[in-house]
Amino acid sequence: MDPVSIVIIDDHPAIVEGVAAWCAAADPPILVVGSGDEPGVAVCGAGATADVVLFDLQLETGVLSFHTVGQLVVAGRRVVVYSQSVDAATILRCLELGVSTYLTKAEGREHLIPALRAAARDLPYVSPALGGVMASDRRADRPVLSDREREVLLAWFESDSKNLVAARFGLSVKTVDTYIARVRIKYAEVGRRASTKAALVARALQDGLVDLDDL
Amino acid sequence: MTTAAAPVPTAERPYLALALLRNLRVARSVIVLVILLGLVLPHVVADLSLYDPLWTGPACFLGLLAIAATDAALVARHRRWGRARWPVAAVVLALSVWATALLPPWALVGQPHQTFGAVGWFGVLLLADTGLPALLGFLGLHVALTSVQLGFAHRLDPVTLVDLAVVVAATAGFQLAVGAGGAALDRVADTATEAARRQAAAVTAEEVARQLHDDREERYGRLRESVLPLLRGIGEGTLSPADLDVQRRAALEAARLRRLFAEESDVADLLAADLGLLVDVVEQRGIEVQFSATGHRTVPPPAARRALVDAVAPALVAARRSARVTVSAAGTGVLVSVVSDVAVADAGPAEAAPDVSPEISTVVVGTEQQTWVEVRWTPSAS
Repeated sequence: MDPVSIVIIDDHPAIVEGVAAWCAAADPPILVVGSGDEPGVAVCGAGATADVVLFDLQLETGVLSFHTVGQLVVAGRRVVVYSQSVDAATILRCLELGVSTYLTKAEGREHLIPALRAAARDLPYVSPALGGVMASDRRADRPVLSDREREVLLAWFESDSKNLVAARFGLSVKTVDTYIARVRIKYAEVGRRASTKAALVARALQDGLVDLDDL
Repeated sequence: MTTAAAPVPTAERPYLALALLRNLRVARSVIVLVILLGLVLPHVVADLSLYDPLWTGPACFLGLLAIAATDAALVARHRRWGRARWPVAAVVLALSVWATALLPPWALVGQPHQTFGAVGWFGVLLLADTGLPALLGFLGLHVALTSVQLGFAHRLDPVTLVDLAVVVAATAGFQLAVGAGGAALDRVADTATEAARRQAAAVTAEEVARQLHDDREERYGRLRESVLPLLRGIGEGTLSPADLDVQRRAALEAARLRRLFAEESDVADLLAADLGLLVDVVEQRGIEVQFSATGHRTVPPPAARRALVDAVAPALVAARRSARVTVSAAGTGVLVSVVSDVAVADAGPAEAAPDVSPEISTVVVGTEQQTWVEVRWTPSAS
């Protein structure tokens, strides 16, 4: 299997360097084929063929680049947003735009590396911050979650440990994963981007995370 | 006519004093109307023939009656004469002089001269509440004017003067008594009011002091139970600052003290602020703490906030390298959670805070490497 390749769009050189170092140290390594502080690096040159675009939502001070996120998704790119913002509305809007997943910058290597791998394979990845936002979502048009799904998601947000969630509810770690993935699929279902939805749902079906009956 | 609004009840003049003074005013007005209609009017009618022309007697009487009626109207409307009292008092004296001048010399200080006894009551109506000296001045001036008129009428004979003295003693005595009674009542009311005010102030101060004392007792009582034994132990050498457990207890109490001092803070999310103070203390020891909050949360009342923070504090303080703290919404309640990188046995007791329950419930989940304490506050339906 080819190694996963990414392009990093972030205006902080330290973040670019840090993520590149994590990717290089990962096993197997993740290839960083391009990086820069403007979205062009994901469209031209080596970056154009990267499996995943790692995108800093705030490339200019005070401006969130939702428009660029939307354009990248429409162009068929898998976008992982990596942002300072922990604001629920921002995170939910990125999901609606069709990003693969959303990570806050407080969430480090232990979430970023698996998230990039999952995105490259169109698998759902839900970080604790994203789980917290989905569990507390009170919008009228939110997906309908079961009580257990919400409990597991909230516990994931609280503990940042699938082992602890599993121990608390007497589930296996794999079952915990399934609950979390299912919620992500439900969000993809209500999202506007057909491509993300189709890819996530197709993989989730193949991996047995969801049944056709669930959808 | 210039009139002043009657004083409204204030802290300085409460209802009781005002009610007494008002009843006194009503009594004065009634006295004057009764005297005018019951004593003066029959004589004006009976002795109408003494006046020349005839209308002057009734006109003079009606002038006095109009002033008395105005006073009654003011009393009914809770208003006072204000500065208008002085010109009106002058008008009363003028009417008195006129009425005296209209009568033939033989009728002076006799039955037909009823205005002489009645005029003094107008002094009580108009001037009593400015103090006794004004009333005395009015009565004195009235007697002096009448005496001068007696002189012009050549009626300064001893018999007339004795009659005058008898009438003055009989009427002015009453009038001064009522005026002095009013002034005394005024003073008593003021004294009573001042005493009531002092008593209320003392009761308030006592209540404030009691509440402050209770509040401090409650706050510092908690510290006495926990901080003092720790400090005493360290001071006496029975507890070693090098001991990890002592360090944890010290960190826990430091966080409690900081919360206690910060309790009046004016931040929007007081629970997050309380947890932030605790996180600060732990971070100062080099522990890496992740702090996340999510959802629209109700702010729990102070007792529930303390119980929530106290319940998670031991696990957080026990952390060796890293910990995670979260706050999230749980229906109408709030969830506070701490994950610490120590086994349950080392995480210190999770305070179940039974005194705050049933609103507070705690779940502890542990593995060999981690302890997870989740505390839920559910407001009781009310």
